[in-house]
Amino acid sequence: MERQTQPDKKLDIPIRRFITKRLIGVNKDSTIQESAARMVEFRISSLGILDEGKVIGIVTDTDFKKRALAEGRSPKDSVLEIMTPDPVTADVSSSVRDVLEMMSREKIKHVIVTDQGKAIGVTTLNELEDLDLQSLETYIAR
Amino acid sequence: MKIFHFSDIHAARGKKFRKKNLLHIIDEINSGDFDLAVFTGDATDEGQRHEYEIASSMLQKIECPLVSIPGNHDARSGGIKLFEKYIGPQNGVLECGDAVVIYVNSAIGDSNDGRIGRGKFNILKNALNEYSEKPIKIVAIHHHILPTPMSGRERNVLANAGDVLDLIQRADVDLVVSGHRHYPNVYEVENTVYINAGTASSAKTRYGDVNSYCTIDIDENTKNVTIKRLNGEDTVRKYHRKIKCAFSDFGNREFRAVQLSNTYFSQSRSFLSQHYDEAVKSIRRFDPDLLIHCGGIVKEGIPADYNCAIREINKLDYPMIFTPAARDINYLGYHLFNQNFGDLDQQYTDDDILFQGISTPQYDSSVGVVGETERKTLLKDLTEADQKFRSVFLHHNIIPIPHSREKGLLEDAGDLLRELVDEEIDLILTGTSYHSYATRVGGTVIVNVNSVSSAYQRSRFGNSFNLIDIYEKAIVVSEISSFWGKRKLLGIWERN
Repeated sequence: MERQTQPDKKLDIPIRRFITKRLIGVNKDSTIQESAARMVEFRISSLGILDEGKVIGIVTDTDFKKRALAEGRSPKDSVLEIMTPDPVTADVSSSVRDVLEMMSREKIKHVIVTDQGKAIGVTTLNELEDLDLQSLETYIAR
Repeated sequence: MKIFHFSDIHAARGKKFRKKNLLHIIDEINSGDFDLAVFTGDATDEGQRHEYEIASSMLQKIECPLVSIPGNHDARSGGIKLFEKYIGPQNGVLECGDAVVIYVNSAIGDSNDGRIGRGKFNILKNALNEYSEKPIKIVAIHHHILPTPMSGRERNVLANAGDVLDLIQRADVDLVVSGHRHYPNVYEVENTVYINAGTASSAKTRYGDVNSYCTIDIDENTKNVTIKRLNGEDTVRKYHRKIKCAFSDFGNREFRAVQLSNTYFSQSRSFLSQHYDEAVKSIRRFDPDLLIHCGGIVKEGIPADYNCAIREINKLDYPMIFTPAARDINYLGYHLFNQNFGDLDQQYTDDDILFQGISTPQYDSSVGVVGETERKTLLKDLTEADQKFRSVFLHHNIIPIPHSREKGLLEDAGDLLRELVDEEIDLILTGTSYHSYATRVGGTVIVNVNSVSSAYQRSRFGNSFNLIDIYEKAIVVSEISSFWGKRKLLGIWERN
């Protein structure tokens, strides 16, 4: 019997299964420098811009390079100048496949994860690459 | 939605089965407007046919939708096949309005222990994926996942409780219902409420308790749990989905601690010296206020390993406190630990913070225990420091850890966990099972650390230590890989 290529079931897993449900951000009044300092402090590649707990934008490592340094902005300028407003979001029940397709379609590497409309975390392409770690648990759980 | 939860009816002939109490409970179910009843196992006392006949005739009187799962007593004497005949399927899924109940059999034939084997783990995992969008997700398992108080030796949690706990937390399950220990108890872990029902009608209760059951009012954001004892005493606990996920305001950083364990200092190949040296460089970069070693300093409690330990520890010029693992006190280690590292129960304190160690290993044994007398002393010391940020550190686990089995759990974990959570201790640090994990039980953040430089570790992330930053408004815990210095966020929690 000829073998058929099987769809990768891992891609059907909802993203809630592997994200750390925490999002690190700064208040919308923060400067570019303060935002960069927070990313350095936590060694993270993206940062939510929050207005009373609601995510209004996102900045990534690339934004500091392209929109701050390359455009000669002052570190004292508002982070709102360099953020991407209304970031792409995915509900926590979305499958890995949906999120990957979203990343590919929008040409982005970071997606804000929401639950009942509230931001609860961020998922990155790097994290999705760690998916294989999860496949072990079934094998180990004897 | 209103749910009725009862457990451990232990139907049998004779006085140890209190039939009258069960009939009273069934009346309560049928006279209340419950949407669902969940029975979490031990329908029978010995898995005998005549016991199943009694249990079945009783459970059939329940008029609302009922989910029943088997317990360890139902799997005695080959009785598990009779469960299917008299009561229903061992595993399954029931949708009920906004809720879904996923139930699995955790019993092992003729054993009191529990396990969710590979097949059932997959049933649970796949169902949680499939019903990911259901507003209310409920899991029913006979054996408890978190240690329960008043239960003596804590060895009957699910063998793979750590993996099940992690799966349930990741899937954001709303409610987990269990039985088994005949003592009612409720914990909130992040946004999930874990309920252990007492026994509904067995004479075998704990600490002179009476028979009991639970009622639960649940919607997407609220869970009101009432433990109802048949003497009329009610205990009400209310939970709201409150875990904050997006953090922008941390306040100043007040304290930075590095948590490490299982350095395994020795001349053997199981001590990964290069990993340790890289970790030392990372630790220096983080410049912590305190290092907390949660045990497993040496590979064996022998002079050569302790000599190696002193050499290696001297590379870290920071205040450091230790708690031993069994391997640290074995052979001559009992003397060598004391001689080289000080008291068994060490402490770091200033005006605002207390890290209190409690020794858990026993000489020549892998079983960890605190002991009732020692727990009383610990609680007294902690209560006196209630104006400070309070942390307890110990070697053995107080909750099950993913990718490990129950042997890392403290023998009296059930009592200690209940006491520390009730005392609203801010942070508990543990250091065995060779896998990092962090979560919050009630208001207490519990953090386990992987091995920093032992060849024996279980994480694909590799050997690691934890960085614990205490800010004015939050506790931030990150895992740092020993070799690469890669940082992974384990969690952020608002301060109490």
